[in-house]
Amino acid sequence: MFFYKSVFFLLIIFASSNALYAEQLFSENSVETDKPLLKTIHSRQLRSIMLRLNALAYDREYTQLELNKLRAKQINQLVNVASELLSNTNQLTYILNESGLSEEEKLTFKAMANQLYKEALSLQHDVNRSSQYLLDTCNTCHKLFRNR
Amino acid sequence: MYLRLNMPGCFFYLLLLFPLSTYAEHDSGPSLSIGGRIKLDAIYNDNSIGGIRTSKSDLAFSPGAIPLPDNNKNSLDFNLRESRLWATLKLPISEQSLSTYVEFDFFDSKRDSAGRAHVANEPRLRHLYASFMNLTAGKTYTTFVNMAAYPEINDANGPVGVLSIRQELIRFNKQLSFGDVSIALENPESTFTSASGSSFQVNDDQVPDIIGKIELSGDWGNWSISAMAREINTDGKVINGVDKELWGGAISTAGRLFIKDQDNLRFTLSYGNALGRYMSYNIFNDAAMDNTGKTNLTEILAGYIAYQHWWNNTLRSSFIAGAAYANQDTSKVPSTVNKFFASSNVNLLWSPNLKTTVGVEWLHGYRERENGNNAHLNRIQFSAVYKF
Repeated sequence: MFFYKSVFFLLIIFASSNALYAEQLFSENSVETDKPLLKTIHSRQLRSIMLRLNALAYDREYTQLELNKLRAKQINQLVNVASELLSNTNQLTYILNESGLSEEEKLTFKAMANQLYKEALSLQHDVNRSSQYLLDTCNTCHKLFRNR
Repeated sequence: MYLRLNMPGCFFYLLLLFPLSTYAEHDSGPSLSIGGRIKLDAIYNDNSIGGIRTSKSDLAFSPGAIPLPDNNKNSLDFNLRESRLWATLKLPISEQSLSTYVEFDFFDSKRDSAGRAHVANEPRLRHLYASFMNLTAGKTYTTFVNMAAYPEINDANGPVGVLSIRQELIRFNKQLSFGDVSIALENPESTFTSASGSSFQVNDDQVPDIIGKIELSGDWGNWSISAMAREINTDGKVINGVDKELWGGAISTAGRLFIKDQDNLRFTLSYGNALGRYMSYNIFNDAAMDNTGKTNLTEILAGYIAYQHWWNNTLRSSFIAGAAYANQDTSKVPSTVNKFFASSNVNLLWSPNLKTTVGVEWLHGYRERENGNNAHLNRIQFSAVYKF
């Protein structure tokens, strides 16, 4: 069973190099400002939170109490990022003006940002609620503005 | 209607009879929520346990039960045993809340099913615990395991090398600046291999298993290190009046790392001489006892690695390989004891929405004894899950 023994060996190497990898990922976690619209607006943070929320939605083994705790943690972060985005209207207006979006698109973007905030807030009040609407909002926004 | 009045059964039927109108969701009052999932499995084995009744090992991968020598008996079984029901009750106390949780599946293994007109699906208690502030008490996953590292698979038991036992415990957890720290006292049980190679268990453990874990998480994923100290206690009534306590330990590192978009890598690597019953449902025992009553702890190295690739937002596959090796002194145990186990899984899962997942999985299992005899198992498992 050479295959399985090789896997063992690789696993040991992998576990020992794990710390270095985590450190590298930490250092990459800064907001990029010279990229398209969504990347400018905390997209990395939002994306990361949504990925983790999505992963929890498919998880089969956590108990519901654990899932609620983990979801609450992600949703709190999401509310913070979304409220930061909305509260800094000057920054948002400046970014939208620089983005080259039409007036209609700017309105759509602002409406979607508001929708994101509202969905995150309602999830914060009830972590048992499905995050499907939130995911739909994110996916729609990404489809519309990812490359803008 | 057949009704078993054991403890889990009573809890289960009370749960079903509990009027849903009592569901309350006020910020200041108690709140009850009930949920679960229906999981249908269709499993085809190429090396089945055989016999008249369907064995649990044909429904959930048990490496130690792979028939050796090969049975060459094929079998197809449908079952719902991995369906689950859960309930949470939150009771506000001052500014905090006391959370209680109960969960059942239908894997009670006391009766295997002949399945002619009725397939036995009796409820089994999986979790029953309460959490208040930093304390958790009850029956749930051992602190030694990192559930974030558990791969998404159809099989109920997980790959070789998985740590997923549930037992009674008291756990203290604190969130610190660098991560979550947990310390727990958990139910002790010692399992042994006798001089003839058979397994036995004693029931005079006196010191709880002591477990500590540090868990870090961030945008990059999750990573944990856990350590455990256990007293393996032999029972003097069993072998030649010899009564002995041995201290052993184990360490484990596990995690889930996000690689690119939703792709992730999950892993667990564990090592120690007290890992026995914590790993892959006790495929190796904690210790071996010879004819004189002399006891040796079993040194074990085990782990798995699982890569999950998302083909699109709803379709994904996991590629998993796991292995476990025990270093045993063959001058004290017979050469028929197990030495090495391995497994690999590949699956394709599709979730049209967040509540539903269907998918198919191929599993290969391998078992090898100290004398070199070995056996293989191939399994195809189709699963459909609906959460409610």
